Amino acid sequence: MKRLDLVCALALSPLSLAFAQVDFTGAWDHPGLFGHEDFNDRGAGPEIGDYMGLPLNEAGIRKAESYSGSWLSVPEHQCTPHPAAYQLWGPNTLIVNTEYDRVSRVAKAIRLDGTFGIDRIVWLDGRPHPPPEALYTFEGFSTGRWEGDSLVVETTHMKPGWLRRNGTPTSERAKMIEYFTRFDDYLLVTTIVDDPVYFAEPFIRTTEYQLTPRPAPVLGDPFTRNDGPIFYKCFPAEETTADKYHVPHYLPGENTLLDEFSQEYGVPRWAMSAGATTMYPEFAARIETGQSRGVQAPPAVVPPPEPIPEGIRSMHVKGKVWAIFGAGGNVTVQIGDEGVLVVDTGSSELAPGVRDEIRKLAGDRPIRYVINTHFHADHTGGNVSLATEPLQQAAVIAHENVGLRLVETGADASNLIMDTFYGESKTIYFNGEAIEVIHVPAAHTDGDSLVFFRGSDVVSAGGVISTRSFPSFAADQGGSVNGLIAALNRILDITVAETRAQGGTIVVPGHGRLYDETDVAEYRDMLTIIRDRIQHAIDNGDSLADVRRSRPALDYAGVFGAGDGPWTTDAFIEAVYRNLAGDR
Amino acid sequence: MRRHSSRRAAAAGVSLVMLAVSASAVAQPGPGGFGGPPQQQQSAQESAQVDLTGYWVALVTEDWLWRMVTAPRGDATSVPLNPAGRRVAGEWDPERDAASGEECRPFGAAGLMRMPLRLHISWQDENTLKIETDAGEQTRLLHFRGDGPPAEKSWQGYTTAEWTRPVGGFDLRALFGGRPPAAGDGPPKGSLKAVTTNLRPGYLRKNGLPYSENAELTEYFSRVSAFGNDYLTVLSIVHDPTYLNGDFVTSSHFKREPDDSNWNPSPCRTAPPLPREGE
Repeated sequence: MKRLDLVCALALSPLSLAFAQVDFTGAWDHPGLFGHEDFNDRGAGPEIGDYMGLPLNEAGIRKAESYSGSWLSVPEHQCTPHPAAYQLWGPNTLIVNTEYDRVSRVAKAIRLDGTFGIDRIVWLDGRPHPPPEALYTFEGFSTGRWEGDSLVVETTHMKPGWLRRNGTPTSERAKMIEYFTRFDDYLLVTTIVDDPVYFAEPFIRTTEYQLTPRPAPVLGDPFTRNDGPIFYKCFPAEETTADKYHVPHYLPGENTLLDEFSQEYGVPRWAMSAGATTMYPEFAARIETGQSRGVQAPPAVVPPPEPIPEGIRSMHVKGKVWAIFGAGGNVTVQIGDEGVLVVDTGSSELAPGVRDEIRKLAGDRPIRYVINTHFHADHTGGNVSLATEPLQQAAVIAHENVGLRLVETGADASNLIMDTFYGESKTIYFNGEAIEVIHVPAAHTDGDSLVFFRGSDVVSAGGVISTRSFPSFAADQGGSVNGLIAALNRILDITVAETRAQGGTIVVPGHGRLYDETDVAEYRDMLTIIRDRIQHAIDNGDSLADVRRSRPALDYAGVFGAGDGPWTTDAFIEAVYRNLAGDR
Repeated sequence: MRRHSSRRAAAAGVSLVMLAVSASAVAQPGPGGFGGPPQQQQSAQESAQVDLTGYWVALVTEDWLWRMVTAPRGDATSVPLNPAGRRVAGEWDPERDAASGEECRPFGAAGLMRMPLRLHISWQDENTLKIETDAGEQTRLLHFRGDGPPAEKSWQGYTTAEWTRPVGGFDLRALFGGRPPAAGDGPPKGSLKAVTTNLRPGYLRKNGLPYSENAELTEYFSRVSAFGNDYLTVLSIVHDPTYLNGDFVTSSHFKREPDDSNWNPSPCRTAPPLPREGE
């Protein structure tokens, strides 16, 4: 009976969960400052070529081998913080604070501040993870729950990052589970990362901390090593005389640092690229006896696309700008006292749903302007529906080649009177902010425009960016791979990161999730690297079949590739090859 | 006394705040459990806070250049050796070890869990947990009750063990018959703390970084699960004032294997260091 009483008391108590909670608050240091494992990795940095002990597949190995340390001199990457999958392993002091709800006094979140560049918040209040279209960050989005004596943290929405500071990659498809477990005055963080793009199996790492007493904080003194947040801003600098658009990387087979590492440490080259097999005890005998036969990184796979919610849905982007997803192409909406401005209108059959979504956001405010970023039907199909207001037809703005292509294809939208422009840009001022419509020639098509909302600090990128596929262009519609790269660089001329290479200017792509400057830079890097590989092959006289065999997009196919549909990885490679070879 | 305070708290239905205060006492029920008739003291197996048994394979994702292969003599990267430790490390001679029958120096308890190997963990008896390794064919015994260390020192020393529970934690299992946790029970609720002394001098790493007979090893064993895998983690703290400037703290992780099909016993042996540039 007494036993039952106690069970009931605990079960009914809102405090019962507290029994399972362990106090992690305080300041924690790695033993010996850098920890007693992998000093090179955590101190000065690991060698290029040290890829052993990681569950990499062949895509992960390819990505790592093409990495150049000069990547960090690229303006958009200079301020990159340590990503979530690495940050606790790296050199840092970890300061843990708990945030309580001011009314219920229940722990709402745990804040992980550190010297790793960007703080993390672990939400304990049961909130869901953001939708797939939300912005990704280096720290990701973390929620926590208690399992026995461990705080279990699940993290999604992480930008591409690394496991080691030598280019061993993690992709945006990675997810992470961490266990924070306290043993006396030690904190053990077990980090498990699953990345279907670059890993053959989940990666696990255990990181130790020791509780370190700190002096009481001195308020207002930023130089006191205390429990307060550290103010730190980073702005890119001109570090080299290289072209600011230069993307440093090694072409396959040209990374001489790999041989240097092999010679310095005596690790055979075949072992360096063996990937996941190097983690297991059997590998010790193989490397001792030189049994390289059959040892290679597991094959890369293209994981199924991330599921996305069905139906038309919207998300506030920034300032006066919203994005509408699920309408074919993405729709960008600016709302203010003067009315509504819409960038791209989605597919014709989905236009009523888009109109309803705009009404939900803007009420009865009329649509005054429609801007088309290019002529494709999934971006102009709703023009007629959305631009035809009861009292006043909205002005339709686009580059003149959009109008010409619409007429050429006989689209319904061609029946609307369009306010086209033929110069580099067109500017309007609406809802209290300047809006630039910037033509980027010969990119996705020959009529592409970016739409930059100056006040809201948002760029609508149209067909130049599709975050769910390789960049697409149609040479017979005036598109080109180099034009696409130039268009991406044009976006990077506009964007400014808020802090630590993330946030700031937000980019609404033509398809897929929201991007910020770093995301656009990664996308530009990807296209530039693949372009360089194919151009190099063409310069060497390789045929299209040779190029296909070399799989120049291997390390990106897991994120952007497709085996079927209208824009397969093969179709992308062929288009780039033919475009660069002058064969349209 | 602990049992008494928890029973009284339950019977009186005292405030939850008081329950929280007494949680550490609640977490450690006495021989009779909570309000039940007096019983014999629970065995370690019965009161287990986490099931560690099974086959586990080391995943060498850290310190690969020092664990998977043998580093050169004197390479003490990351290890806080003091001058005496560095001197001894500089004199490492694996051939001398082999000649003197000391090939198992790298397989002593303070270095064993860092080796690339598999573990088989099982109950030798209800109060002794046994950890066997395939590489090195070592056996560690973790004593929850015992008579204390024997006079003779050994590679695996003498280990005392205890279950640890969450700080302020509460072992609900104790309320429902005291069945020990088993695989499939869901999340682990606690961990195992083990302290090992009486060690024969051995190596922290294959390349002869020494620990002395004065070394004391403290370990915390726990389990985590993620992405369909089950992992064993071991946090190790080596305290050795003879050869270390401070405690040597590492953690190792193992993945559960379904059976013994990969179990491959082999005697103690140290591969020679990989030839490096200029050698």
